[in-house]
Order: sequence, then structure tokens, then C-alpha cells
Amino acid sequence: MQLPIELRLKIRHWIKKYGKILFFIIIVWISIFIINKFLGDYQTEEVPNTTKTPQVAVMSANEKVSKKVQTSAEEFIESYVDACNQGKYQKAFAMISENCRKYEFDDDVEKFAKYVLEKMPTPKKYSIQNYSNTQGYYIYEVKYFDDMLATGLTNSEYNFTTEKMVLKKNSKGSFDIAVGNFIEYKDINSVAENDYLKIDVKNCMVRYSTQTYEVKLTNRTDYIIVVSDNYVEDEISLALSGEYRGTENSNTTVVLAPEESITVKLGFMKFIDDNDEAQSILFSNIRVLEEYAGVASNNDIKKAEIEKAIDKFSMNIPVKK
Amino acid sequence: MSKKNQKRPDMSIVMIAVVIVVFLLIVIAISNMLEGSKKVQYAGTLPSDIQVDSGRDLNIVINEKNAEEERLKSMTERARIEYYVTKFMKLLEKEDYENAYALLNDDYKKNYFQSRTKFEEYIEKNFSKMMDIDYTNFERSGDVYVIWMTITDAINGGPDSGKEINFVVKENGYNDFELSFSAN
Repeated sequence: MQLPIELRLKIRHWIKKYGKILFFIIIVWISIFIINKFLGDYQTEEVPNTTKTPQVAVMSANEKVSKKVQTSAEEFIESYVDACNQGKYQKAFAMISENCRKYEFDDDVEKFAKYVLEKMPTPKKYSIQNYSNTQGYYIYEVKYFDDMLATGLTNSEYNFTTEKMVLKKNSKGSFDIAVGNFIEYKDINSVAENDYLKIDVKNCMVRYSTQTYEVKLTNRTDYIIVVSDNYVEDEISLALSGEYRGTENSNTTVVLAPEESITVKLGFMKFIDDNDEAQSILFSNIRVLEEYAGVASNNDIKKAEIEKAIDKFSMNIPVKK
Repeated sequence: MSKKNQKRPDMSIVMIAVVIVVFLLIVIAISNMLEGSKKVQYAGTLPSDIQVDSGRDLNIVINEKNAEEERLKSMTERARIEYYVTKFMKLLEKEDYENAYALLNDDYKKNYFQSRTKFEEYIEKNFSKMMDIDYTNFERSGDVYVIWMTITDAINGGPDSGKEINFVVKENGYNDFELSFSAN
């Protein structure tokens, strides 16, 4: 059976005109069909949607750390917790950065073990969450808790401990990792002095939420110098760009006997990711006294002593590097 | 031999072949689509909680499971976890201890209920046959969820007779979970 000649010619003409396009469309369509079939066969199981996003910073929901940082953090914490759970403190200690070992734990593995046992008194499970990222530091919050699934919280309470773990890229392209909320150690070496007193701010230990300054004070007189005895509030404060912040310990007392030299540690609440920078330490109520009844004396006595003071002044020591 | 003299293939045959191929492909595609919408995905092994000998049509059971999974996908994280706990509690109410026991975490079973009999005894003693459940708190710690709830005997329980209990749930996938509870 043959098609009528006219129809055959028409079809032939049509194919001549559109054949290539038709061929191309068929090839594309078949390819899509095959790819679709292939992908259908290799469908992966859908992962439940949860609020768990360990790579997204808590402090900034738009900020997501790179895969390299996340993997480094996850690999470190797995080995670290594993070592701690097995009581291999020397191994865990060797994993953390040199600065953290030196300044946070005084290069003392026993001090480190004591700290670990406070956080993980028994073998723990853990979770990590990127917390914030600032000034080249990737700060993670690590949560330690019991294997609750294995106990169902039978005869136990829901509790956990946390610490900040901090990653910083080193010159080798890998990461130095610190635990115990340690961020960095800074040499300050900033000095202010007058005829009565010399104040030398030597260094600063920066932890996630605090800054602790080591300060040496030298009394150059034969009098008693009271730097802080809580006669008024915030006799020592940390000057930020827009506010003054008192010491962590509101009962800080600094009193120097004649010609005495003492070194104190002054801690202030200061979050590394608050986008502010410490400017100076202000000692606002320094008194040079002939007589001093002591820190515990009442305010009337203190007032009388101040009225008879040799001198009163304040000192401001820059700490911004 | 000149080009003009070469024998050219009969274009009508080529055309008919092309049309037949396209038609076949369209038929296959439509049939696949229709089949896909009717047929349930069946992995080859029976889910553990389906009773094969129950006399129920396997397709109906699997369709129910798929519908349950779809429903779970539309739920929030907390709603899903509460759903799993409720599902477990319903199994206890129905005295379906075999399937309830299968949902317990393996380490938990080793710690507290090494046999199903022990589990049954505990449930018989500590849970009533009809329970009112009041979820009071919810937390996530890593991969596990902790739920605080108060369960009250729906028939005999007074207003303040509720028992506080914790559930710990780990969701491995939609409708795939393991759990434990405070067996105080």
C-alpha cells in the first residue's frame, strides 16, 4: 500500500524543512526521559526538616560558615571528646592550640584535666553549634550531656554543660583550636604614672565573654594609696566606645601600703562579638591617705579620711592596641 | 556513481517510523505517569509494624503509611516528635507491646527492659489503659529531643493525679524513630 503521491510529496517537503528540528526535539526529549528515569531510581531518602543548623551562626542567622571550617570543627570535637571520655587528657591537651595550653592552662595538663572533669565528669555526648564569627575567630558553642536516649532520663535530670570552642586560621592554612572559652592573650604594656602611683597594664586574657587584665601598681609614696575599696561604685572601670563597665567582681579592693608594689587581675564583662573595643581602664577614685582604717570601715570614717587626703585623682590607662 | 543516482531511502517509511517511535514514547511516558500515581513505593522488605497475616490488603497498609509520612512532612519539628510519642502511647493503650517494645532504643532496652515481658510488666503496673497526655516542655540536644509531659488516667484519675514523665526521642527519618522514657 502506498500513500497518495501528493501527500507523500507534502510529507517529504515537511520533513526536509523541519526534519532537523524534529530530530533535535526527539533527542532532547529522549535524553530528558532517560535522565529522569535515572534520577528517579537513585532518589535519596528525604531528611526531616529540623531547626538543627550547626553551621549557621546563632548571633547572625544570615551567616553560614564554610564547609572547611565546619568540617574542621566537627572533626576536632569528635576526637577531643573521644579522648576526654576515655580519660586520655594528655592526648586531648595536645590537640588544643599552643596559646590556649600556655595561657589558659599554664602548660599544666593536670589543670586542664581538672577543667575537663568539671565539664565532663562522666563520659558525655555532645553537640556543636556555630555561635558567632568575628575578627577571624569562628566561635562554636559545645554542649555536653549524658546519653539521654539510653537512660530516658530515668532517675536523672535534664542537664548539660557548655563551653565555647574557638577556631582561628593559622599560617599553615589549618586551624588553631582553643577550648575553655579562650580567645587570645594580648600583651598590652601600657603605663601611666605620676608622683604618687605607677600603673602598668601588662597583658589581657580575652575569653568569649570576659577580658581579664593583669595590672601592676606601685606606690611611690610613704602614704597609703587606696585605688578601690567600694566607697563609691565602679572605682575601676573599663572604658568602651560608648560606656564604662565596672569590674566583674564588684567587691574588688586595691589598697597599697607605702612603697608597696602589687599585681592584680581585673576582670570585666566584655563579649568578643559585641562589635565594641576596649579603650582604656579608668581608675576614677584614687586617694593618697595619711591614715586609713581599712576596707571594712564605715562610710563616715572613709569620708573623714578622704577630707584629710594628701591628694585625690584619677588615672586613665589606654589598652587599645 | 554520481550523487544524483544514489538510491535514497523511502521518506514515507522514515516518517512513519519516526511517528511510531514518538507515539510509543508518549504512550510509555503516560503509562509510567499513571502507574506512578497509583503504585506505592515498595522497598522490598515489609515495614516491621505491618501485620502481614492481618488479612489487610498490603497496598492499603502501605498507602496508609505513605499518607502518614506525607502528613509528618507537613508538620513542625515539635509536632512530629509529639506525634511519635503519642503513637507510642497509643500502642500501650492498645496493649500492642510488641510494636511498642520495637520502638525503644536498643541501649535503653539493655539498661532497663532486657525482655519484652519485663517491659509489659512495667507498663501494666505504671500506665493506665486510657491516658490523657499533656505535653509541657520540649528541648533539642544534638540529635535527640527531650519531652516533658504529664499523663493522667483518663477514667480513674483525679485532676491532680497526673504523673510527670520524660520521653527522649531520636528521629532517624520521617516516621522512623527510636525513643526511651523515664522509667522511675
